Amino acid sequence: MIYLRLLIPALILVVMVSSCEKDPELGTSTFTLAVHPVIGTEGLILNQEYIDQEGYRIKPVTLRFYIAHVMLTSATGEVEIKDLDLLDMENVAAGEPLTFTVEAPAGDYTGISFWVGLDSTQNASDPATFNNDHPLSLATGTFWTWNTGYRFVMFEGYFDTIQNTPGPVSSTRFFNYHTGTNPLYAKAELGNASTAFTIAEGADYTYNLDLDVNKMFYGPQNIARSQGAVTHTTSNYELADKFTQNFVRAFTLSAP
Amino acid sequence: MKATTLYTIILLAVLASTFAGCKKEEEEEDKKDPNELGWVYNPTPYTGAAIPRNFPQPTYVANNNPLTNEGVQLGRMLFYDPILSGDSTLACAGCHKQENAFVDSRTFSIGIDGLPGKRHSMPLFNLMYSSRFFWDGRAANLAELALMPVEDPLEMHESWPNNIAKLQAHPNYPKLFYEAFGVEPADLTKEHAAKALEQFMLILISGNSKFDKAVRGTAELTEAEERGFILFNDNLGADCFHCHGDGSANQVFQEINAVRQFRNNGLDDPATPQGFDDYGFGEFTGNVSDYGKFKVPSLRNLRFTAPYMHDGRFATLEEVVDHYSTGVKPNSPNIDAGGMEFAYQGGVQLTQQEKADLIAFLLTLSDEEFVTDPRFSNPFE
Repeated sequence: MIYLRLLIPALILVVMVSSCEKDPELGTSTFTLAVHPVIGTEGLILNQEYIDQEGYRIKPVTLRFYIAHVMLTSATGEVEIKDLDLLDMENVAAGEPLTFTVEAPAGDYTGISFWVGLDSTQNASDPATFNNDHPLSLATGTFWTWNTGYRFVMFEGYFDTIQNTPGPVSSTRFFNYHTGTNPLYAKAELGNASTAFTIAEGADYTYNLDLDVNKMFYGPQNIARSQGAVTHTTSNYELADKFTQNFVRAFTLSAP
Repeated sequence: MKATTLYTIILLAVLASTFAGCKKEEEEEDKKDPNELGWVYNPTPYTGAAIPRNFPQPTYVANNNPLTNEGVQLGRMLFYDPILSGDSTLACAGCHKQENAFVDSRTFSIGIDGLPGKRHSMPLFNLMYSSRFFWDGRAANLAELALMPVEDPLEMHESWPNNIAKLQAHPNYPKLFYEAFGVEPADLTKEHAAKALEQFMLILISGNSKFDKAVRGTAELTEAEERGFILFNDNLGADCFHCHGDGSANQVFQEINAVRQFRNNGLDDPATPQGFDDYGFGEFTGNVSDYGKFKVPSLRNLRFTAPYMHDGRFATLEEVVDHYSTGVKPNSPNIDAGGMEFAYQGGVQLTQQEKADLIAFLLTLSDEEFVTDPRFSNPFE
């Protein structure tokens, strides 16, 4: 009987110790996020003319934005794979996606989330302290001033204000959406159980997103041509806010 | 054979022999042994100019051309020496005068043939923040920039082969090139001259204006200058910072981002882009969407750099500010989509007081010491 008295605590101890052991650590994989700028079903190339879904001619000339705190989402939580990057169409060849590549833990995931813009700490950075190849350096052309921080999104170009006009697009009617300031730091969340994916250990994985210009204008907020086409946030906060709401919803999973 | 014919043959042979001998002497001159001549190639790193501590990290890197005392000094001599022009009357400094922050006070500079240039000359300072050069961006680096005016028929109008021959025959330059680059006279090329000029231009750093001193705590801006600074950085004020730096992190007051250095600021409004008198950046790129765009200049040293704009159309700062206040042409083709937010109403609509304050601030960016600094002056005087 005395053995039984000793055996039970011993078994409990064994169970406790074994439960404290960590799960075997998963390996990593090379993960690439690829953002494909599009307008409807067409791939977007800067300085080329398109006709948007409402029949307006448009010629984007600049598209760059910050992406921060990129998380892979799983049934058990989130894991951050990238704290910050600047995606800029000027930095990629025409027709190529905007990408970053990181080492990410292998596993099963349901989606991805990220913030468009910079968190308040990042946004308060002194750009002069960074080397020119850093996303927060002055050389990126995104820093505004000391009291507003950085431009989170810069989307510029020319468009016609009358539908269905013959080309070429006007070279005098420009649009310019520069969003910034901490309140316009906005989150995008993509994927769900039906679009779950697995990053296999040691394998390369690319997660493809589309970023649709149509959705930037015609999202939850309808940004009509007549409502003014320029905001540097402080000059037209309402428009910057509307554009931000649309922008974070302009990302969708690319069709397989 | 007639005696006269024989005499002619002998004479020609003697002459040929004489010329051949001269040529041989020239070749021997070109093949001087630097060691025998006492020349030494041991360049020392240039330490005479430092980036001001309120300036950001330079974006321009000289390609395989580290600054040395020998290279800088040679570049300075070439910059001020008219030897590089067709008739040896016009130096780089003829159109880029130190007292004018290395720009020409004339609207259009006059070349050696008495012909005016197409555009106002550009100032030369703080070039380590540019990615392309000239108003139209046709030079990818300072070495290219250095070569082009020499061959331009509206400027120095001389070929580089001629210049190399002149430099090789010069009593001093072969030694100076050897000391700077280790190149023997026979191997001298225009690229060596361009490298020397690049080095000199890179030391033309202007960062000791009243504004800089105020940043460092050794001077104080007046109330008007302070108000002007606030206007400069106010999106709803003068809105200058979108194109010229914000005055906090970017205190060189020029566009640093390579892509955004060429813009159309609404000076003219032809019906189509092809209607511009000067295509500017578009002349270089060939893209219609770049017609009418020009390099965004630094706002430093405006006290010395009049007249203003690529064509020198504005004689005074007041005229410049009037343009941005109410004179912007909203229907200018390719008008800048990034910074000309208020083009639709002709500009930022400043009051007279605001204009005066803004100009007061802009003038604090002028660096009196730069335009008299002996390191940048004519070494032949």
